[in-house]
Amino acid sequence: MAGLQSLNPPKLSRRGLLAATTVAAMGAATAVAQEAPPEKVDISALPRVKQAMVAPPFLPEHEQVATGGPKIIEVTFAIEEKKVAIDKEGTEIWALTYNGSVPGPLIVVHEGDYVELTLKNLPTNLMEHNIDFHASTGALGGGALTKVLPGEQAVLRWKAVKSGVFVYHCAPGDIMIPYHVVHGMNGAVMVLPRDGLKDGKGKPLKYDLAYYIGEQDFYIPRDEQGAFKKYETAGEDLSDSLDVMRTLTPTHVVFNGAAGALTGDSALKAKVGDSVLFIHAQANRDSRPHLIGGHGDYVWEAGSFADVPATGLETWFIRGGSAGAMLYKFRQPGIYAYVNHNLIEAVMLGATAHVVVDGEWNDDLMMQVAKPEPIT
Amino acid sequence: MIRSGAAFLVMALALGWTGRGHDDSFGAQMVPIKLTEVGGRTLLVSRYEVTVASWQQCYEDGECHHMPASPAGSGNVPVTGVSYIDVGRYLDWANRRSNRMLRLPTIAEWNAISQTPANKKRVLRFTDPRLAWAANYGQEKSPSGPPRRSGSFSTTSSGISDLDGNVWEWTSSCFKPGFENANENRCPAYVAAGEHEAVVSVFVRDPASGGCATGLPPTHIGFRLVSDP
Repeated sequence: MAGLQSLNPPKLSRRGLLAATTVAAMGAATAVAQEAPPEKVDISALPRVKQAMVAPPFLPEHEQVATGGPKIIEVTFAIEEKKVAIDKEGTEIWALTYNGSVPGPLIVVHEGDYVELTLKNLPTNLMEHNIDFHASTGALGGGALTKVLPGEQAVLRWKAVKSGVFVYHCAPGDIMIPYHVVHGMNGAVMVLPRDGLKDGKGKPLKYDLAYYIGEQDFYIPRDEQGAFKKYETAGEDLSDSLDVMRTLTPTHVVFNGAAGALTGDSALKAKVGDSVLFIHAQANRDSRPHLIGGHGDYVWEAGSFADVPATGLETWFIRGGSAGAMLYKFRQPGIYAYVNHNLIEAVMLGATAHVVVDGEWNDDLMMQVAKPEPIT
Repeated sequence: MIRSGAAFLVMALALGWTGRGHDDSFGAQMVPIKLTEVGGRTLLVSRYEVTVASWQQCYEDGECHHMPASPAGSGNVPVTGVSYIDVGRYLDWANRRSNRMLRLPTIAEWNAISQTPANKKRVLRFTDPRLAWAANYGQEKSPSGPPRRSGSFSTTSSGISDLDGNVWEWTSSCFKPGFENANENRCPAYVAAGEHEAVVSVFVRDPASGGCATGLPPTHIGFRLVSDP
């Protein structure tokens, strides 16, 4: 913690002043506790680092433990309205995307860093968009300062004052808020503590690999025959979609934008002995991740890395509108299924990913004592 | 030529076959194939999977109890969304109507018909026998999209079409080899053949889009008729 405080002086000084004010208030009942005035930070003196975005389920290059002081992390999102297939039957949606993917890319920074986002609304688009970062402070998460029309761009800088994993999403106002979110316009930010992840006892926790799983609920309208409808342009489905959304019953619940997007050739990969961080974001709806054949060794269920992680969980809960993180060390090779353990959603609606793990089988952990044979 | 055979069948069924005697429209589209891989026997094999139009006849005759939803005008498209149990009813109907011994192929017969035995192409993902349950993972290439008109995929040199399409085909082979013959208990799941072998419960009409069992599900399930001469 000492390291974190020394690298985050504004937080420390604010706390110090609050304590002093409380002591003073005991003697003078009329005194009101006040926050310290914001510290003047010379932004122009901070180092700037461009972070190249990568498509999920992967993470951009980053350090687990920060070297040096706070930085400005420069990020660019190009908003693209595009038609995508969301299942193997070829059901389509005009997805509203940050950088062309559902979910949008993961941004990784450290506590005390600044995120400086250039948000571009491509001229080929038909709608207004913006972005609300749950990790940020003020102006509706930046949503009020980033409304961009097709062909426009805006730049927003915000300070990462809370560590953890956080959702971001489009929130252009009124009914368009849920409409954009359930058309894929959401993603996550990971704000690591400057000195990295810790267990509850101060022991550092490292990951060999990290995967970012965005869970998306879709509400696709059907025609009179019950077949999923297709539309010529983005937004054409609006009134039909609202009718399906109002039922609160998704037609699809998928990882990485489509049923099967993280299975088969696109399955996640690991080796026995790897510690793998799974970041799970759900911008709209509750979920309950479970790793079939494994566990959650360390789980930051509500997403805050300032919290002590839960340990040894079977299933954990992701509140709609939040992200969580789980760290697991694979101990056995084979295929694992990472699912939303509402199994109707996992199997029938699409919320299943697979992890292919190489390595040596451990008979001590499990062995088939007798193969299936007729009952004797 | 191949398409005209199917067109004849569809037309015959669409007109409502009402003649006396036996309906030979089933035999009209069957090709004799010598299966050297399976003992050198000759098997009559349908060029195409059973179509929506044919299933519709069975349904209208009251013998098939389930009519899967299908888009209008899809008569010449393979019927899908039918379980192993549903298919049994169709076979009873078709055999009574044709006075043939129509049946499903075994997986060994299917592999011989397809001329590209899926298992021979496989590179096992895991070789440790303790990981046999996961060994075939990642071999699956499920062609996506809705079922297409019969004959939309490739045709073997023997004239059999759509074996490599996105409709898997029920076989008469239990997922546990030999269980269906050697055991008094009923087999709960059969092998569906296609781009990969899938094990599907006898009750399932639409394989799910994901799941905790390893391996990927078929895109759609239908079936093809064979007959011993």
